[in-house]
Parts: sequence; C-alpha cells; structure tokens
Amino acid sequence: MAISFVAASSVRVANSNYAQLAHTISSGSDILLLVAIALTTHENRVSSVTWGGTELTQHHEGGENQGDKAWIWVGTIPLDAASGAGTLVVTLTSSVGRWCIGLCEYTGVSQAADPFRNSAVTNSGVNPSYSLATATDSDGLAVSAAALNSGKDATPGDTERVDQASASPTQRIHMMEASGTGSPVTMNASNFADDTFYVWVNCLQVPQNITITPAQAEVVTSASVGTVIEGTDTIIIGRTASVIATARVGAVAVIEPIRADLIMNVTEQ
Amino acid sequence: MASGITNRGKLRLLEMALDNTWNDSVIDSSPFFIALVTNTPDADDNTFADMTEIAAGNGYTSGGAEAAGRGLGWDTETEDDTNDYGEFQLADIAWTASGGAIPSSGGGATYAVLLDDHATVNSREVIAWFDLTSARSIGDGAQLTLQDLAIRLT
Repeated sequence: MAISFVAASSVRVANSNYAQLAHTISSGSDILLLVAIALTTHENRVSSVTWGGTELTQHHEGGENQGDKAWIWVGTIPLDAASGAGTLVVTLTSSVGRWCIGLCEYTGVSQAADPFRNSAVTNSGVNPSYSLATATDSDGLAVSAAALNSGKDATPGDTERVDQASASPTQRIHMMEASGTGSPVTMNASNFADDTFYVWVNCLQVPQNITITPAQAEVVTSASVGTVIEGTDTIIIGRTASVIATARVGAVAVIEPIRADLIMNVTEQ
Repeated sequence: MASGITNRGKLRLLEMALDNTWNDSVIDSSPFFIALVTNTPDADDNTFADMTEIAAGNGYTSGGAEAAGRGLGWDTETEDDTNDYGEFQLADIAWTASGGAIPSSGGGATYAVLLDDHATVNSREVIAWFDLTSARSIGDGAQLTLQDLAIRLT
C-alpha cells in the first residue's frame, strides 16, 4: 500500500492568541494528519493544539531564537481520529500579530506509535534557498513544513501542498513532499526574496508487514521390540502406564513404543 | 536388525492423523485452526483452555484462523529418504490488521498453535505448537504471515 495525499487545509491569523481550522477527515484507511504552525516570534509559543478536544502529538518545535523571525510547531492529530468534519483549535501563550496554520491529510501511513521513519531533519538560515536531504526507503514519503518570514516566497522543487501567507508583514506556512526513491531525497525550495526560514523534514512510513517461518513441530518416533519371554515367567518392567499379564502357556510378546506402553499377551490355551 | 518405521510409514501415519486419507483417498474434510497465544505451550497441554490467547479484534478472531482441512487440504507432503522423516506442511496463514493493531490489546503473540475443529473453542485439542521466536504484533494495515507451518515425524 502506498502513501497518498488526500487533502490540505490552511488559515492565516492576525493579532490573536487563538484560531480554528476546519477540516473533514476522509474515510480512507491508515490516515495521518500533519499539522504545522508558523509564528513570527519565538517568544509567544504554542500553548495548546487540539482536535475534537484531544491534544495533538507534538513532533517538533523550533526556529530562529531571536527577534521576529521564523518559528515552527509540528504535530499530528491522534492516529485513531474518526472520519468526518472536525475543527483544529490552536491557542498561543499570548497574542501574535501574524501567524498561519497548515494541515495535510495522508492515507496508507503506518499506524504504529511513531509513523515517522527517520528523525526530523531541520534547517534554518538566511540564505535565499534551502536544500534538504533525508534518508528514505522506496515506500516512504518525505514531508516538510517551513515557516517563512517577512514576505518571502518559495518555489518548491517537489510537490507543494500548503502555501498560506498572512497579511503584511508576511508570515508564511509552507508544506510539501517528495516521494522516496532511495537515499537521500533532496527537497528543494529556491528563489526566496530575502532571508529567514525554518524547516522541518521527516519521512512517513507504510505499515510494516511481518512474515515468519517457524521451526517444524517434530515428533520422534520409533518402534522396538522389548523383551520376548517364553514360558511362564512374570516380568515387571519399570515403565509408566505398564500393564503386564502373565501368560499361562506360551510366549509373551512385549512391544514398547516411546510414549505409551502397549503389551500384547499371546496365549495358547 | 533394529525395528523402525519407514519414511513412507511416517508419511502415511501423518495422512491418517491429519488428513484422514490414506494414499490420497479422502475420508472427510474437517478443518484445523491456527491460533495465536502468549503462553509457552508444552507436551502436557491438551485443549485450548490450557492456552492464553491474544486479544481478539481488528482482524483476529478468537479461536484463530481456519487452516488446511482434512481431505487433501495440506500444502506440501514430504517423504524424505535422505534425512529420514515424513512431513506435512500447511499453506501460509495470514492476518491483516484493520481498524487497529493485532493484538487489539495486551502483549504480542509468542506461539501459534494447531487446533482441531471442536465447536467449542476452548475444547479444541492442541495438536502442535510453533515458536514465533519473539512477541509479535502488527500495526493497522500491516500483515502477519506464518509460512510453512509443518508437522514432522522423524
């Protein structure tokens, strides 16, 4: 089963510490919803992010730790979230002038406790472009979320899913992906108009199958002739579950299998 | 000359016990079952009541999956004259997790057991056990496959 993009939603926010983003989860299987929040400042942080009253699982938070730069928060909606309409609710520690929220939905993603195959690869800087490499496998899907500051633009080299900008002065959330075709996979964004951005990259993984070939169940068998007695002698054999009858005339043939004692008395009357 | 059982005889004994056939002549077609458990079975165990089954749900049904039945339903039958054994091998058994993980709760499966088809699950007789080497669980959408489960008489 391959990982497939389903839908994306986004919203921009001004002068508030609170925002909502509506989204309808599809009826597909093995769904993952990736949420990214871009802030202009590292000082007023994300306080709470919920879906249906349940806190999201945070996967990363970071950015430029100075002034009004790029700051990003990344998380996933609980893996067992039901399909249908719902609302993402985000609360900050304090009001922020310009910020944005992006959400991407994927199907065919491993529902293990950690759906990501690799540790997050992050990058930040003041260069006009960024190029990120993340190790993937052929079944994986590399995804990224970038917080871009102050009216910047990004021309992705791979598949763009969210590009939401706020009002001026611009803060932007940008989410994209690249299919895993080996290691490494490079995700390109170029032609930034000016400086700062902060990017998070990881790799979604498909459900992992297990195939086992257990050792065979083996039974050791044998057939043997025990003691052959002729005449009227009585023989007591110290084996479990043994029943011995004495022959009046004739021979007693004793056959002893491995796990059960079977004694046949052959008598000549 | 010591007594023994021929490899052909071992195979025929397996046919009679597991396949209810003799030299490919079918007698009946009762199925067997393969179930997943968390305890360690041993030779003294008798019925499924002696086992601790994994939690049911998400694609795993209590009592296990129906396996090859009697009546020419086994995957591979072997008479090995080099290594001196007769062997019956089941077709692959697989479970696909859907709606959640298998097991749905608790620890993963450590053994698979071969059961007869008694109508009451806990009364099913344990015929053999197979070591899965570690506790096994799978996430939603993943598949657990047991390949080449075999009964061998040496």
